[in-house]
Amino acid sequence: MKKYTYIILFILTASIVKAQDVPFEKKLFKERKDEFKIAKENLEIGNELFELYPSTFIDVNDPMYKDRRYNYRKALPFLYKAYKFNPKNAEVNYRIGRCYLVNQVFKEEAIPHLLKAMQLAPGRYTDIHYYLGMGYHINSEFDKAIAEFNSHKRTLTGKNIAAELESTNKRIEECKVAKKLIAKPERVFIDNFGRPVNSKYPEYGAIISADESVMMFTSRRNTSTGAEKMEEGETDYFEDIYITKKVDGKWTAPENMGDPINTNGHDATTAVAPDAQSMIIYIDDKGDGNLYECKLEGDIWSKPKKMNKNINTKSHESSASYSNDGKTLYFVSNKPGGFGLHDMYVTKWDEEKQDWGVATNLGAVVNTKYNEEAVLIHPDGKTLYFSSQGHKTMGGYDIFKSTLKDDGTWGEPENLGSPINTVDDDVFFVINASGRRGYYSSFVKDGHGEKDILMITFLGPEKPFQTNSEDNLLASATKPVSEAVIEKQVTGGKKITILKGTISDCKTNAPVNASIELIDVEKNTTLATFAANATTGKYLVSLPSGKNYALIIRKDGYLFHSENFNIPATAAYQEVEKNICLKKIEIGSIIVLKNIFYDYNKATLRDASKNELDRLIKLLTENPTIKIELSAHTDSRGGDKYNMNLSERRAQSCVDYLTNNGIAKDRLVAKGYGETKLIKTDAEIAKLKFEEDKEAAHQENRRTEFKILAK
Amino acid sequence: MLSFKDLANMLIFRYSKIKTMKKLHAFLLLAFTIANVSYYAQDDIAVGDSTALDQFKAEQYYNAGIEKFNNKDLPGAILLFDSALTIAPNFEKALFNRGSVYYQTNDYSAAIADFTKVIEINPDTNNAYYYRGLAYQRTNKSEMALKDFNDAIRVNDKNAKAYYHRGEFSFLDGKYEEAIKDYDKAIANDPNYTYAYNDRASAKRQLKNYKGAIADYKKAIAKDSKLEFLYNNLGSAYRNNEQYIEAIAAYDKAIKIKPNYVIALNNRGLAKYEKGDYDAAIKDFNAAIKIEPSYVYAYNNRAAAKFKLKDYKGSESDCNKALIMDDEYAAAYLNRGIAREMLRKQDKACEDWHKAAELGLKNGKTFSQQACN
Repeated sequence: MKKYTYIILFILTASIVKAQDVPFEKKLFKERKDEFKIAKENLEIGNELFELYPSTFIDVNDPMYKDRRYNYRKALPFLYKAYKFNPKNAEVNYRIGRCYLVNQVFKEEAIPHLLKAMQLAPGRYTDIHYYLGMGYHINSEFDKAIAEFNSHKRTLTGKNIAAELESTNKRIEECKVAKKLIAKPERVFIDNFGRPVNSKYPEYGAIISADESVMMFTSRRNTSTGAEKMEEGETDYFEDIYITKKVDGKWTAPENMGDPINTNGHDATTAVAPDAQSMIIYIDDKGDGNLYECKLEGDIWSKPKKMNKNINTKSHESSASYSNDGKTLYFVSNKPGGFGLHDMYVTKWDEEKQDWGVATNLGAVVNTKYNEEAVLIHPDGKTLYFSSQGHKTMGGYDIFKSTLKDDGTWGEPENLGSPINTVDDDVFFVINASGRRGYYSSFVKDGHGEKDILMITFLGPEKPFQTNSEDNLLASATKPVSEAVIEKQVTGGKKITILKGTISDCKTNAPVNASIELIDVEKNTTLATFAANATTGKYLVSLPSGKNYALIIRKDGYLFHSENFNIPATAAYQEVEKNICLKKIEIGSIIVLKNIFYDYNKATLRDASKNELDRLIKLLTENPTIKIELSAHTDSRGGDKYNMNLSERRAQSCVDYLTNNGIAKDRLVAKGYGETKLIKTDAEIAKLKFEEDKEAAHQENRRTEFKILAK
Repeated sequence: MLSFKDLANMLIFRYSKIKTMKKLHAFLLLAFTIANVSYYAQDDIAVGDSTALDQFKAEQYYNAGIEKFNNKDLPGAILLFDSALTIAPNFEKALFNRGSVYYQTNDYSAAIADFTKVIEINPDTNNAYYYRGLAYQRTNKSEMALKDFNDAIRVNDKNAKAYYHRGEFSFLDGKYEEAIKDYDKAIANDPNYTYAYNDRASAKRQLKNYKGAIADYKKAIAKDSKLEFLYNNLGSAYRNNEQYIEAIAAYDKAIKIKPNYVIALNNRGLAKYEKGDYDAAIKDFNAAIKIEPSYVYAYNNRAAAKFKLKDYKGSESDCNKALIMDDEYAAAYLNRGIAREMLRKQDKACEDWHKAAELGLKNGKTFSQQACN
């Protein structure tokens, strides 16, 4: 027995000796004098950086937190060199652990160092449980993290106890949220965007047009403006904005947007309009942080113009997002009077002043006492995406979405879930109009180096398989009756239509920079006015579901072009490519008036038609020599005679409206064609599979046109 | 020589011996029996009747025809009925029975001609309307069939079978409530009418009245516990009602009665699939495929179960097999698209969904809109 006691004592003693803290003292390293000297120098530099700020608890929202984090990152390589020389020093292990926790990458490396510090100097570091908890949290060991945070709560002392307790409790909650979200991951594919967009330098802040045909992003690569002026060996290049375009389904090599967008300082992406015709960028402005707007004029970007004082203040304005109609702007500012640090604000375009109006805070449902950042309003106009340190995060910033309710208030933010969100900071998220793809940036271990732009494909709820069964439902029938069984369908995706295309001259095919007026047919109000690109004639308009839209395309010297998109509230995402050619005012030119509506089976004009006819009146007034034939057509359903009669009466209704509004009768001819000039024949319609497509074809046949007879 | 009475008794005896034959045969034999008995009961031969010999000869051919029928010599029976009718062209029962045999040999137009003649001779005949209705039904002349069942009911409003078959028409026309009314009458007139309980249950099931369907299938089983399809149908009603354990138990019974009952195996697989027991579901689909390698539904359903187990390649492969067998199988295109999406073959997935949409599946269009832009 005595023999065993000695053995146990020996083992214990040996382990104590092994776990002993080894100070950086010259006498302990007599045989490694030179190495000691270098290690000591590194230690001193590391310590100096580490000690610039108190190592005690600093709230994440305290500006000092950011500065201390910067110094810790700088201190890490020096401390690590000292550690390599003397790995048994408790203090250096503790400090390395703390530094790793605020490092860009490899945060989980803090764990072994903090554990070693605990082992070498038990009880010396009263806050070590908190930092070890952070290490476990970042390493997704949530139960261990919660246990450490709870241990920390039992050791709290000092004047900051309330803030520290709140912070610790928040981290415990974050661990619980993370556990829950990771257990039920979202159905997504995450892919590295790959080369040539990603490089060994940091890429982040991707912004996209609504149809994903244009992407801008921020990069700190060696081609950045001002890189040539940097000191030799310095690799922390300035932020510059790069652009890439999707051509035939492939992204082109990114180009530095150059002057006037990129300057010798930091220039970062913030927002691009859905049609990619304007952009908002962030300029550091010597630490003030302001938002600037640039417009694409033809194929040249205008000089960034600082946005007005309703947006930019002496505080920090960091990100912004345009609404689909360009009349609302969401942005982030940490100006006083908010709910926390950075909050989200909204401002509306003031038509009278032709500038942005007074901004209002988006309110306490979406803004928290922590930071909200990277705001994005989806082209559907109803879904707000943002990053937040508050709400139910998994740790750091998480990406949330909130939906605008019918009463104008914002719904409770929802975490986008794992793996989109992680326990680390997740910011700079954008999503395309369909809601199918999103982009964000992150450091990935098998990436191209530093932060890379990643692409998320949202698969949405699991698509239901259609299974088949059959039963002998009728006892006397020999053939079983089969049944298609489909699992309950779940709705997914955005309810929005992206209408895009080019506007050109019908004869020359040359692009036309026409204006596009978007009208709410039922309310007879103009929702927004867009312009097609002057050089390419390209246009893009996003139309949230649930409205009857009229689109009027105009250009001086041309007949106006009218389109109608009646999109029910339930309509799923769709992209419609509509190339429009404008006709000159010439004899024989025919224009379909797609926004003329009659009562069912009657010739009575609905009020919603009057806007279209008023446009025609304007045309006839501005061109007083023009004579037109106004014709109406029916679909092929119903009797020929009935249809002919109905179309004649409808054409006459239009002519009557025009004459009642001052157009001379002799300039107008009413003509009913019935079903004699169908655009879609019955045979073509019969081939269509779905009733809705058939109905759309009939709708195309039912139309009102005008033709220029004389000018 | 046998007396007429002996012959009648013999036929009744034979009927009782073969009444376990298939249902279809049973109704024909019943028709013969009624015809035979009524003939001799009504038509005694008077002394000095000059047509007595012809009538006697016709009756002999007629009875011999029945003999042939009982010996399963259907062409022989027709020849003898022909002979009877050559001598006595308006011999109603011979016409009726020849029509019945034609029906059984699937010569429905000849059957219809005979039954029509019976109706001409006797417009208030009950059975001729009914059986001609069946013949019309077989030749997909629905309106004619329905008219005959209506006439059969007009002549005899207690004709359970006419109600039953009229209900069948309503059922196939999707008019389940009307079908149920006829099945109610069929059951009221024949409380042991197993088929009527089954079909009423099926009509209720189509109306999503699963509890009502379950109750009726159970009643049908109480009348005849040996019909495998009743258990299968009961299982499917349970499955519709999300009572998967009960469904599986019912399918078990169906399969026990008929081990190669592919429909029930496939359905049991689906019940297990819907219950979330994907491995067990695959075993059932495998069993169905083993019995009937061309049973395309089992491949498609097995693809669904493999998908749930994240075996996306296996899922795609099963859809491929289904599509080799039926290249117009819309569900298999839809499902293969779903599997291919997970295999990162987005373009191919979209092609499949487009095809499914072309074949009329709305979800094909929906998925294309969601994922193919």
